[in-house]
This record gives sequence, structure tokens and C-alpha cells, in this order.
Amino acid sequence: MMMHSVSRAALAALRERLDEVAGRFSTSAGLVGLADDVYAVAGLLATQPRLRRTLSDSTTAPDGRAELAGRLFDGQLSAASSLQLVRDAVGMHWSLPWDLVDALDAVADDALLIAAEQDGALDDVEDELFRFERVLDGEPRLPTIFDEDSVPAERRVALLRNLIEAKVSPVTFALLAHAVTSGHRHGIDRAIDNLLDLAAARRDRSVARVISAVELTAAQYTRLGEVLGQLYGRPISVRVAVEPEVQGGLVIRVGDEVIDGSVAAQLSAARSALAN
Amino acid sequence: MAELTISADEIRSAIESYVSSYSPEASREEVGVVAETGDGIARVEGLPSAMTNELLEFEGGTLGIALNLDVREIGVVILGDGSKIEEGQQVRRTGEILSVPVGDGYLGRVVDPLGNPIDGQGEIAAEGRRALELQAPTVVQRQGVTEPLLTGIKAIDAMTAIGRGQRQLIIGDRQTGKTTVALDAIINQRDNWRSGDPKQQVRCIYVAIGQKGSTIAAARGTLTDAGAMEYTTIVAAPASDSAGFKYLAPYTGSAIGQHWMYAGKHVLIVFDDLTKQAEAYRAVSLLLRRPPGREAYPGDVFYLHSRLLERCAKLSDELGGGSMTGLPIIETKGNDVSAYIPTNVISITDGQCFLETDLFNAGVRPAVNVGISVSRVGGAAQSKAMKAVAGRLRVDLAQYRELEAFAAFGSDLDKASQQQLARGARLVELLKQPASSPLSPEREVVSIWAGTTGALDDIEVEDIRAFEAALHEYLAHSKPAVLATIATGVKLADDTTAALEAAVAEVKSQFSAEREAARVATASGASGA
Repeated sequence: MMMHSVSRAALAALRERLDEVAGRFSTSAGLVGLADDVYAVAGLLATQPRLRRTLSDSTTAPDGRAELAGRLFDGQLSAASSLQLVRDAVGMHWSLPWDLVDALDAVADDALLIAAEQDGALDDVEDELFRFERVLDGEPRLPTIFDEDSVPAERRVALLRNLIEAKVSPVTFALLAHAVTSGHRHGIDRAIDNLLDLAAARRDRSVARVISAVELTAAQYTRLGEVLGQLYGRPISVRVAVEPEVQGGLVIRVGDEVIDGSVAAQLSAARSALAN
Repeated sequence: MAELTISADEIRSAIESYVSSYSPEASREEVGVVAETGDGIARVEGLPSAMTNELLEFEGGTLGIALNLDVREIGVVILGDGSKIEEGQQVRRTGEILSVPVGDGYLGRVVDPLGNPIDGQGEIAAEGRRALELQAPTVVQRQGVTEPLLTGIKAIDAMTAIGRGQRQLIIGDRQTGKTTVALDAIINQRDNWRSGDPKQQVRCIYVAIGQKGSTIAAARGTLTDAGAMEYTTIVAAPASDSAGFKYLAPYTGSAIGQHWMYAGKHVLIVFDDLTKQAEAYRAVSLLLRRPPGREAYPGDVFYLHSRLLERCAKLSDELGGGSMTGLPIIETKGNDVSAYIPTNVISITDGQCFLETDLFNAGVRPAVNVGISVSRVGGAAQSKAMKAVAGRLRVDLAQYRELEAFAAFGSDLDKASQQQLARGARLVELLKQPASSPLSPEREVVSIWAGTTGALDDIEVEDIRAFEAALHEYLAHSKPAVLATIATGVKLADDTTAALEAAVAEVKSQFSAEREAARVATASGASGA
């Protein structure tokens, strides 16, 4: 999500507002409702260019815009705090109209993650997202189907439901369902990537995606976390997937860097060296 | 830690049930919304299934082409008047990639770049539609260019001959006679058309891009007066049209011509001029925020012209043997042929006719610069008669030009140089030709023969054209058989040459007698009065 500095500042401020609002909720269900509301508002703005442009027009008075948003959405959202958050978002200064929509989406994602955190399930959510990423990687037809914009969103969400609803937590499902239905992002792979980074960042960590041939023992797991933490100078959240194709060793990805220590890679390097 | 595992079987069955539950919905129409509009382009949101170059329809019937397919919006070039298009209006897909109607109904008509008639003579009965972005013929679908396309202009047919299926660029500054050369080439196809022989007939298309409306009307008037309009189609995108129309017009002309070419017919297409099309494309690209390159043209301006001109070809016999000859026109500034667009198009075409301002102002019209004009098909497209007589012409003229500069110093020259100068001056005078008066091939051969064999060396330079006219008249009236023999195109036989020499002698004696009488008359008139 590329944003100019003005929008980035506004997004940071909006996240702080969300944290304040979230603190007042006693159960996570309220936060899930807030997230749904904000997703719905973002979805509406995505399809209505005129409204989007009016609500993000920085040449008009912020109070006027917030008033307009208040009147439009009053009674349409499930919680009063949702309306207040939307009014705050609209009243901020955004570089581009789409930045408002992207920010609302990001804040809704954040709200769901906070809900998971409050339930102590953030670790699980992160894990499930990572595993679904591996599933998509192993079955290329799935990302193509999920990204098919010309097919109605309900059908694609139905497929998602068919595949994983019973197997993941509600927060994970809500995040993934939104990634599938929101029509203005760059593809489900990138969406899950962003979500993983967001989830790890919640705990002030970076994510290391590890692929191993066999299950790691608890000791190996901890040591890996320590080594990577030293290497990168910050706490690392280690996510491991077991895939026999690597034949041995580990493939580790942190952000844009890949450390390929797998036996399969060494074998193919040897093969090409012998061929030359 | 929860384990999320989905087996490959589960995935497969889920995808199968997803795919099988698909039922094509009957009337599901995608509708887009105009997010932004202005300056001849519009940005449309929605319409996820829009295709590149698809025609989109705005409220009120205005059409646009979807050129830029971005993540969140489509960049559309509006074809026509964009003043009624507003933000928030709905946009429909037509499902049609850009195409125009084609067919013989287009002969004699003036149309806009979408194929709609604008000459007020009623609807055109089309034989079908043709997409504008179809690929050019492949290598195996072509054959070599061997048939001549005669322009009727001596300078061009003798030295830079054009063949059917060739692309010959006409390049020069403004007001140097480029359009005249092209129109003369079209007018010269009149006798071919009237012969009724499909192997001889050439259908012509004149594409006017960005020209003044008065100029296009004048061109149409010229063609009508010469009787050439019955086999010509004019595709007009005048200067007042939007950039989208100017960008499209050459492709429309090409599509109309290709329809005939693939039916085994011969086509001549003139693009007047491609510089303005490149400028219109630049305007559209800059508005669509495509990155500008050299001289602010977009990076694919070469492809813009190359894919257009590659469609001119001579097809193989399996495909009917049809051909499309292209005469693109490029306007240079300050005779600079090394600018961006001129060099691009020179490298695409099979030769160029360079028209120079200095020559034009000095009275040499057509102002062809023999030095850098070339035809890469050349002799292969000339009749044997013409090839034989014109062989020396370029060399003689080139030597004359070298000597001319030298002689300007007024120094004494030896006899051979003086003779060369005399010959060269006469050849230059011989190659001058008025507009809209193309010569038949046999007359061209006679003129060139007379010039290169030295038959005109004893005629005064200012009398050369009168003498040439007299010679043509004499042969047409008294020796039509000789002309007919030359018209067959075979190399001049000895008896034909002898007959021509006799004719020249005859005409010279009459001519000098007339000239003498005229001089005496003016002298006595001047002295008597």
C-alpha cells in the first residue's frame, strides 16, 4: 500500500484512535462487529467514486465532511463507535481518495487482529494464515479462482467457506473472506502477506516463514528463533511448514530475504555444475 | 498450535463443485462508472472484464476505446465529442474489439475513422466488419514485389520506381508538394480502373489525418475533377477531430484496404500524414500518464507506425496475389531527416522520395532530391523499356549536381564538363512536371529516352518542355504504332529506336521553324511598334 507521507500520518493517527476505541470493548465480538462495519463502509466507497472523492476532498472543511459521513451512515452501522471511527477517518487529511479506502480496510484488519489478541488467539491466527498461504502456494488454481474479479464475490467466498471455515478461527475466516471480496487489492497472495506482517507487527515482531522436511523439535524451534533474532536484531516469530520436497535443511524467508539451505537446492546446484 | 491441513483431495473436490455450480447468468451486464473525464480521455471504474481496445459506450452514445487497463480503473480515449460526459455517468461494455465495416460500398465515399459516411450520400452497404488490430501477413504469406505501380511522374517512375506491395515514404518540409505527388499517383490509376481488368485495377484510399477541412475538400475536388473519385475512398480525420480519431484513422484505412487485398485485389493507400498521427498518439499517451520518451513521444511510437506499415504487402498466389502499396507522408522541420519520427519511418519503409524546399522554390517541381531518394525495390518494379532508358539518369543527374556547384565559380571548364552541364540542365528541366497531369508509361519512356540519349542537347533549356509536349503530340497523331509498341513494356528494339530518332528529327525541324517565326514576329513587333 503506497501512501504519501500525509496519508501515512493520517493512518497512524487512525490506528491510535482504534486502539483507544478497542480498549473500551469488553468482548471481542464487539470488535468483530466494528470491523464488519468499517469493511462495509470501505466497500461502499470503493464502488462510489463521487462519494469517495467528496469524503476525501482535503480542500473542504473536515467538519463538513465528517458531518456528511455521519448523516449518511447514521443508523446503518451496528455500533456507535464504528460511526465515530468512520467520522474520524473522514475528517483526516488524505493525499488521495483511495488512501481513505485503503486506510479503512487496514484499520478493520487491525480491529480483527486486536479481537484475536484479546482472546489470546493471535498466535493461532498468524499460524492459520501462514498455513493457508502454503496451501495456496501448493495449488495454483486457487489464487487464480479467488482473484477472478468477474465472478461474483459470494461464489468465491462460498468456495473459501467450503475449504476452510470449519478448520480455522472466525477471525482468520473473516480476514480471508474480506481479502477475497474486496475488489480493489492486488491479489490474495499479497493480501495474506500483508496480514501476516500486520499480525506479527502486533506483537512487535517480524515473521520468518520456514519450510522444513521434517517436524522441528522444540529445542530446534527455540534455537532457530534465537539465531534469527540475533541475525535481524529484532524478535522473530517463527512459522514452520513441513514439506518433504525440500528433502532436508531449511528454507527461511524473512520479509524480502530468502535463506535457502535446503538439500534440494544444493542438489540442483550440483546438478547444473556437473552439466557445465 | 492449531494445524490447518487441507488434503489435495479436498481441494480438488471443492474446486470441482465450484466450477460445476457455475451457470451463465442470462442478462448480467457489467456497468462501469466514470470517475474522471477531460481533455478527450476518461477514467472508468468497474468493468473488470473489459478487454484492451474494446469499444465502451458512454451515456448519449459516444464511444471510447479502453487503452489502459489499470488495477483500479480503465483509461479510455473518447472517440468524438467528450463534452457531454460527466463524472458519475454509467459506461457499458459493447463486447466488441475495435472494428470497422468494410466492402466495395466504400469506393467513392468520404468516411470518418469509425467507418461512418460524412459526405451526405447515404448509408454504406458493408460486406462485413474487420478488426483494426489484426496482424500483418507473415513471411510465408508474401511474395516479392515485381509489378509496377506507376505514379505518372517521370522523376519518380524513372529513378525511384514503386512496385505494388511496396511502402515508399514521401518526406519533406511543409508546402513542398508531398500531397500532390500522392494525389497524382492516385489519379494515374484512372486508366487502369477503366480497363476493367482486375489484375490492373488499383483501388485507392486517401487517409487525411489532422489536415484542414478545406485541404481535404480541395483534395476531394481534385480527385473528382480528374475522374479518380470513383475508385477512391477518403478516410477523413480533420484537425478539428479529437486525438482518438486522428490516432485511429490510418488503421481504419488499412483495414478497408486489407479487406480488398485479401480478396486478391490491388490497393494503394496514402497516409497524409503520419507525423500528425504520431502527435495525436503522443497527446493521448501523455494524458493517460504513460511515461514519455524521446521528444515526449511514448516508447511504442515506432510500433505505432511499424504495425501499420507492415500491413502493406504483396501476398502470395495461394492467398490470391493481392497487394497493398503504402505511400506514407512525413513532414520534416527544416529538412531534418534525422529527427525521431522521420528516422523511425525511414527505417520501416522500403525507400523514400525526399522533396526539398530549395528545389521547390527554384522551380524544380516535383522537388525530388535525387541524391537521397531511393527505392529499395527499384528496377525489379520497372518495365524493361523504362529500366533500359533510365539506367543512366541517376548517374547523369548526380554528376550534374556535383559539377553545378563547381561551375558557379565561373571558371573555364573543358568541353566534356560543359557538355555534362548542358545535359544535366536539360534533364532537370525535362523532369519538371505540372500537378495533376500524370503521363502514361509510354510517354514517360519516350521523354526519358530523349533526355538520356542526348536528343535534346541542341534544344534551348527553356524550350525543353514545349518540345517534349510537341514530341508527344506528334507521336500520338502520326506514329501511334510506335507508342503502342513501347506501351507493351519490352526493351526498345532497334527499329523502335530508329522510329523515335526519326520522329525527333521531324519535330525538331518543325519546332525550330516555329521558334524562328516567333522570334522574328516579336523582333519586328518590338521594332515596328
